[in-house]
Formats: sequence, C-alpha cells, structure tokens
Amino acid sequence: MSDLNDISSLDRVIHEPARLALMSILYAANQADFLYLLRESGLTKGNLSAHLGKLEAVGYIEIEKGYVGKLPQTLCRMTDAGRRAFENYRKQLGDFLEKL
Amino acid sequence: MKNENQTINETIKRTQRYWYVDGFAEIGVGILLMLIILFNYAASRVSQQTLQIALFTVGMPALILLGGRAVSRIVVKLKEKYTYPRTGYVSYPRKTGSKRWSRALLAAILGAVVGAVTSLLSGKLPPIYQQAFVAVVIALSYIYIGYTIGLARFYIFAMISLALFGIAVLIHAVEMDFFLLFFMGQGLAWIVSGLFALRAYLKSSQPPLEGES
Repeated sequence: MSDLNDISSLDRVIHEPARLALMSILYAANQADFLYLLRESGLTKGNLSAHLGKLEAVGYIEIEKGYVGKLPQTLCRMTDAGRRAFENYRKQLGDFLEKL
Repeated sequence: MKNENQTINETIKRTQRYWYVDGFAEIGVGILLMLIILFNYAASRVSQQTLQIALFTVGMPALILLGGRAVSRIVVKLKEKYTYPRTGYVSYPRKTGSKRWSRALLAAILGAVVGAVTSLLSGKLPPIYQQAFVAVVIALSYIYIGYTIGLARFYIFAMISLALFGIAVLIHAVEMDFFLLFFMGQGLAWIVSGLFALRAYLKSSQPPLEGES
C-alpha cells in the first residue's frame, strides 16, 4: 500500500514521458530552443508546443520568444520551481526503485 | 521504471555532450594546447633570464587566460553560424556563488597536489617517473570526463596520452622534449578528433529551414 502511495505521489506533470524528456533536457541546460527540443524529443511541433505549454502553465519552465536575424526563436528555460520539482521527482523515483 | 531513471540520466548526459557534437570545441582546445606548449618551448630557449622569468610568470598565464577567452568566443561564433541553425541552440548553466568557488578551490588543490608530487618525483626519481605521473593524471582526467558525459572519444584521448608517454620513453625524450612531444601530440589529437566530429556532424545534419528555430 505504501508503494502505491509512493508511486501515486509522483508529480503527474513531470511523469508523462514526453514532458519528462523535456524536463531532463532543460535540467541539464541553461536554455534550449524549440529546434533542439523538437529534434531531441522526436515530437511533432504541435505536440511539443502543447507539452511546453503545460510545463509553462505550472511554472516549471519559462518560454521567451524572439528573433535571431530574421528567423523566429523560442527559448525555454527551467525555473527554480521546475528545478526543485524535477529533483524531488527524481528523489521520489529513486526511493521507489530502491524499495522494489 | 528503472528504464525511466536510466533515460533521465542518458538525456542529461546527451544534452551535456551536445557541446562537443560539432567538434569546434575540440579544435579550439587543440589549437590552444599547441600554442601554449610552443610558447613554453620558445620561452625556455630565451637566454636572457629576466625576460625568461617574465615570459613564464606573466606571458604564460596571460596566454592561457586570453587565449582561452578568445578560443571560447570563436567557438561560440562558429556554433552560432553552423550548429544552432542546424540542430538547435543550447546554453549551459554557469557555476555561480559557492559552487563556483568550491570548484575553483578544488582545481587549485588538485593543481597544487599534482605540482608538488611532480617536483617531488623530479628531485628524487628519474624523469621517466615524472613523465609517467603526468601522463597517467591526464589520462585519468580524460576518463573522468568521458565517463561523466558519456563521450567515448575521451577514452581514446586517454589511450593517446599513454601512447605518447610510451613514444617519449622509446625515443628517450626528456624534460622539454618530452613536454613538447606530449602536448603537441595531445593538441594534434584534439584537432584531428574535432575535425572528424565536424565532418560527421555536417554530413548528418541539414542546413537550416526557415521558421524551424
């Protein structure tokens, strides 16, 4: 029962595979642009935008839109809250795996 | 679940490895290494003692600091032109505050220990032990970096480091000749590795498409 509690207390926003991949990338980077996230996640543009939107809505990432020359650029950065949530998620996951 | 944890670690490592994906950083480090050892060699040949001391105490740190900054800027410019439009932009967190100081302190302690052991060995033992110590410390540093970010070519650098030591022993290169051979070889290895990485990168990535970033 306690194991069930452990697993159910994992952050659902982060636990989704695509968002977990995005959070892992942004945890290692200071900033990453849309193109990099698109290539690394293997998502479609629409899916990526939706997942980034969800992470931004809960305050885990910040999105900044700008231009490099004439090309549009979307930069994503993990917030302090996102960093804490991701570290907490990893700790919870690690603890859960140790009990298995 | 276990896979999930591995995937997180691998994704983090892959993001860190991205800095080396195009080979520009390696080419830059290789050129800087060669410049430093050539400067060192030239300074060691200067006969006037005052000038030699000035070259070693002022010129060398200045070359390392300014050269390092210049190489870093050039690498970033090249990435902005060729890498970021093709496969995307990533910047890495800079160590700040206590993390920055603790890392600097660790580097200083490590440098002091290596320097102390090297001079201790050079005074009491034949030069070959000093050379072996330098080669092993550098090889271990490469292995550490390779393991931390999961980049296999750093293991090759470690092997090259030991091979260069072997060559130096075979041809009886000592003191400055050893350092010249060892670090020129290292620099060359970094440049060649960087060029291979660049070639592979340009082959595998497409020029930018409008609106992709």
